[in-house]
Amino acid sequence: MRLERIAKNFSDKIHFVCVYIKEAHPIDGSQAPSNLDDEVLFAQPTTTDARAEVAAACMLRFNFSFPMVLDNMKNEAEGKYFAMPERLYVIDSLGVIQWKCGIGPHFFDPNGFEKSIKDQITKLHPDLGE
Amino acid sequence: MTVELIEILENRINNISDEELKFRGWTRDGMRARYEHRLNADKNSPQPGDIAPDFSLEILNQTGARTGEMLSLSSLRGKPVGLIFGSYT
Repeated sequence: MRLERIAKNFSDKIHFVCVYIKEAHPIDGSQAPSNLDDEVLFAQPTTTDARAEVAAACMLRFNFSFPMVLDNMKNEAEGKYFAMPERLYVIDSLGVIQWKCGIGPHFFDPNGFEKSIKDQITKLHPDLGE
Repeated sequence: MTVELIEILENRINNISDEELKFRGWTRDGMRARYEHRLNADKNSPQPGDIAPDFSLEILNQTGARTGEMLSLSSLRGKPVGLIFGSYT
């Protein structure tokens, strides 16, 4: 998985955090045909425990190396970052947003994410170059 | 960029099959309206140059179990952060 590869390549210099948000295509919402094929079939969780269970299934399937945090049932982080259904941001060491992709899924941009990550590393470690 | 955004979304609307529309319960006009709504709403999202909005959320362990421990975004300052938002479905 592309994001996992990016994280593994740069995790010594960058914090990677996944924020697990509300389901994009629950079976009781806007189901996606690909989920049917992949048997990724979950209703929209209504409790923190239920959301964590689906997140766990996701983690076990993909075995991410980066930490995952669970958005609360007020969908606080998703709301602050307009993150639905998926989104990427790069934040610099001072806490300032340096890059974000467009709205997902069509403008979800792992290439831009990786480039911005590299730019941040170059700014902090100019001796490392490319 | 605005033209590219519109073109990609128009292509999606034009190229989606009738079968998928039926499966999802969508119409092409409905898709267009949803995209327009989302693009307009997104003008209020945090922009490059903004301080990243803080949050404090529960950490899941490597097997996805709840830990009861919290992680605040602001506690990560000192190193850049790659933030990934998503869900399983």
